[in-house]
Amino acid sequence: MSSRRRRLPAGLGKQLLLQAILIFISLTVLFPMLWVVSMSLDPRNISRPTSLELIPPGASLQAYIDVIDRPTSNPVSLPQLAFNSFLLAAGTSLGSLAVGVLAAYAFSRFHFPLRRALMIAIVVVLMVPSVAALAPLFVMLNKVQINAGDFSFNLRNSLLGVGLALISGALPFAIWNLKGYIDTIPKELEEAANLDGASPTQTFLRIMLPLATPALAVTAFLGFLTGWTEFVMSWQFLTNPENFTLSMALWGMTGQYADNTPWSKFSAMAIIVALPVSVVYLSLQRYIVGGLTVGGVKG
Amino acid sequence: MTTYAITEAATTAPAGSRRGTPRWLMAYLYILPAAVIMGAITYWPILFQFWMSFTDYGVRNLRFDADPPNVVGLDNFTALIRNDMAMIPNFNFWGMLGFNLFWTFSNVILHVAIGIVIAVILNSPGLRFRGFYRAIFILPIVIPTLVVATVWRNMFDPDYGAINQSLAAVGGLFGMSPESFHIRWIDQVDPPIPGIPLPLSYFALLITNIWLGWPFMTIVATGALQSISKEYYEAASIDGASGLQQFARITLPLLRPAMIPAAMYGMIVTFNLFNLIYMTSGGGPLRQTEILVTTAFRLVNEQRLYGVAAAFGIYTMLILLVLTLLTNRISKATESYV
Amino acid sequence: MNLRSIAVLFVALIVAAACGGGGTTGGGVAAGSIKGNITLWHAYHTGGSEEQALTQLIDKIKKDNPDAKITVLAIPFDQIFNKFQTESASGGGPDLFTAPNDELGTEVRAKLLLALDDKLKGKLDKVAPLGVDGLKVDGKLYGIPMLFKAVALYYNKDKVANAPKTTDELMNLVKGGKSIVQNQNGYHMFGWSQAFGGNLMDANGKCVADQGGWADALQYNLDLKKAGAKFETDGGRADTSFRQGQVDMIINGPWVLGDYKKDLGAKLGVAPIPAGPKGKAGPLTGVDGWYINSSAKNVDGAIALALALTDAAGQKVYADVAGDVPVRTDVTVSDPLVKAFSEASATGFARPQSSEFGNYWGPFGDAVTKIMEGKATPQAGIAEACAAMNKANKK
Repeated sequence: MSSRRRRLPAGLGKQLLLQAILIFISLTVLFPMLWVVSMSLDPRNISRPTSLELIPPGASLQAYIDVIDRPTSNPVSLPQLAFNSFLLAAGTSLGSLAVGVLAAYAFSRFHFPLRRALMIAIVVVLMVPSVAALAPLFVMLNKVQINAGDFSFNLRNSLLGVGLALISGALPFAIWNLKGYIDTIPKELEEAANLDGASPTQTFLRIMLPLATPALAVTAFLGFLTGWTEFVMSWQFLTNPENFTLSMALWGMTGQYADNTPWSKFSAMAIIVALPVSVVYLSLQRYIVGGLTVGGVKG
Repeated sequence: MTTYAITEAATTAPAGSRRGTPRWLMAYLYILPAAVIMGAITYWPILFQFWMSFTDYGVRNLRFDADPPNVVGLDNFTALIRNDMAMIPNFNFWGMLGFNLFWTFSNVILHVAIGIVIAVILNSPGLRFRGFYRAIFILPIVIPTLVVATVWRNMFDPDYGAINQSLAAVGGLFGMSPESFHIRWIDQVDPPIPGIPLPLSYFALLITNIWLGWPFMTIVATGALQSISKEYYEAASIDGASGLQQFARITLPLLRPAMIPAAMYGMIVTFNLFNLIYMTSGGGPLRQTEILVTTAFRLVNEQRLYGVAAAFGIYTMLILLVLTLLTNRISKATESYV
Repeated sequence: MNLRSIAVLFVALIVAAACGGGGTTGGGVAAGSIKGNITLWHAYHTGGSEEQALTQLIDKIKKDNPDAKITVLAIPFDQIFNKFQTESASGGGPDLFTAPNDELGTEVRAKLLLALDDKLKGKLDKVAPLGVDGLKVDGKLYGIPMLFKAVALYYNKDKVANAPKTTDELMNLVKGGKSIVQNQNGYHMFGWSQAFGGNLMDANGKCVADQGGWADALQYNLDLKKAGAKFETDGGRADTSFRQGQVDMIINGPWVLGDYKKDLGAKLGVAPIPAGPKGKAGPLTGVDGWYINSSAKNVDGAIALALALTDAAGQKVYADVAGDVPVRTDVTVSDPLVKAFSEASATGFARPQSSEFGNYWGPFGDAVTKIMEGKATPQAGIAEACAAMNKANKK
């Protein structure tokens, strides 16, 4: 790094060096993705290309057509899978966000008995992976069943149940993350509002929420990602194909040992699964960067 | 200055609300929805798990009309720390815990370091195509880990994997035979560095997870870098500080408050990184890269020893509690550094 | 503790052509006799040939039985046992599901499966005894048998004209430059032990593998490796190298026969795993059956459906479409490769359903890795695994 980083535009040599470094990094980032693209076009359906070439011999879009036409063995269409994924992801995201921001506000701005103990309790479960609570969650949610004539509902065997299970992991994170951000927001504005006679609720809605937008965006996005990519719980809980999600379909193609994986279709499906989250991310990128970096702003 | 961790917020409550509900009650009202939901779907299962951990709960007890499991006291707990798990050979609780911690710290340190360096490069004044690089560099974050793990596992293939092929291509320039790059990344049992008990698959996982982890740190660092006033650097230059000195005395300290919460988040994610390990190395060879969550999943999903798994979950929780408190202490202790 | 005595079963298995056309259709089900809502689960691979066989049969059964509403659900193979057990235990799950008998014992001990002795009386006369025994736990029958699953030696006829019949022949082939790939694990490599006189457990379920045979079998494999044989932990990788013709031989099961045929066509050959100095190889022989959930809502419909799927016509579809080995003796198998598999299953080691056998996988899987990677001698590795297994089983 040159010390002449003040007003001088970077010299040509330095520019070239930086570009070379960044191009190299870009290649390492893109390489595995190009690999997936290459496999998705490969009609040979082999587990790995035997040589490094982007466009395999006889490349075709057949795998995409196959996957769109019949994503799984089960009677469920790709739009339905995508819709379920969206429902689960958006539900997890918004559910944990709405409840989390209220609690985060209280933890950041109020003093009340047991505050510290409760916050520790949240941070501890935040770190516990939800896989660890799989068995008890299953048993519990399964107890909520409604049977009335032809109508029967089992909370465990529903997207709502999976969503709740996911929220049990996403909510502590939302509270922790939002509290951290709210802690860094200067409280002068609220104090001013308070002096003007605004109630805490008014202060929260009119001042806190707009100020916390970047953190809300990050939390929403990470919650969305959790729901979108989840497959362990979904496979454990759901049995009706009309509730299945894209990630479940993707996992269904490989399994742990990846024997007999239809590689071309798997790769095509992987691209289909990854695309929407990439788009959501790119559209939220501006907020997300801000929401993760406010600590630095204050530094 | 605060961190995202459990620090007492620097805020003092504004003088108590003058009318209506007392503030402490307001606070509880705000917390109520979260308390109800977490009570029902987070804490209740944990309590249930506590009870399970003192029993020999197994598949035969799952059935809704089954007899309750036998209470076995602390047997599950003692069996685990004594490695008395004959059905899982090479089960080594403390070894696994040590590996898990080493895995976490080695990853997070590298993620943060690489993330900062790349952010600084991206932040160089006059850099062209900045937006393009930024857009590319976030891709690893949004690709589902399931896909990442599967692809990298294929890339580490000894014969056809991209890693060995690339190494051989580079080695070929120096006249080395491709044979010398038949590296069995995932399967080789012998540690690549004599004397250090880390299998080659640890390094394969490390490479994969660095690929996965640095972009997040770069995003955080980039935002923080942009908020550092140029005046600091100008003043330092006038004082004659070199680029490296500026980096050490200005950039790093000012990045710290943003990087600490990010590193803590990274730590949690890495400590519990199930998908990547389960699908890339499967914990192998010989369970040397197994971490706590993959073992917890095996106990439930493969062995179906629910009682043992519950006890294991309790241990995991206690370990994480200690870890949280320790890192919180460390991040607080270093806070005055700025 | 209920101990089932386990012995190597040399049951004479008369499958296929020999007994074709026995007259009655055995468990045949009259059209229209399957009624009500029936949910079935399978773990066949999406787009694979076994799924194709099942779909073909279900379509026909639906047409013949307009009163039946059959719902088919595919579950990933590594999840099916776990998912069935948790679902069934909580009062749900399918009416019936099909899978190998890998976890039959566990499921029966957890009371998740219906005993079928009374319901199936007289309906399994045409099923080979090894098939029926494979679905029995403590003398009771818990499934409707359909297919045998055991591994055998696939070879590429272009490269290896005649399959090796003995371990010495195989060794000479490998030394002469022919290649073989093996899946390095306790399942695919199980068969060698019997060829070298090894026995896993005694009648009480105590591991006796350390008393000879097993170590010799692994020593042989080590020698094979030294001579150039490949050992893989990644099944997909092993498959690819054989399917693309880079490797001349592989040990694998009938479930990949359809896929191998697509790539290798007439070049593909199947033979039993070579016999050793102490006799024939004994691959672990599993039985794929249809199991009735003890929480099933439509038990009669489920049993009728299972019988329809496993009657002579049904098993022939599996044999012809997927290359699977029928358990019935009255099914004519035309494909010589499928016949070769049925011979391989015949000398197999019937998969024990005891809880003791459940503790084979961990210790022996690791022993295989350690020995093949040179981290332990065959003797030491097997002795350690045996001790671990006995410890887990409290023997």
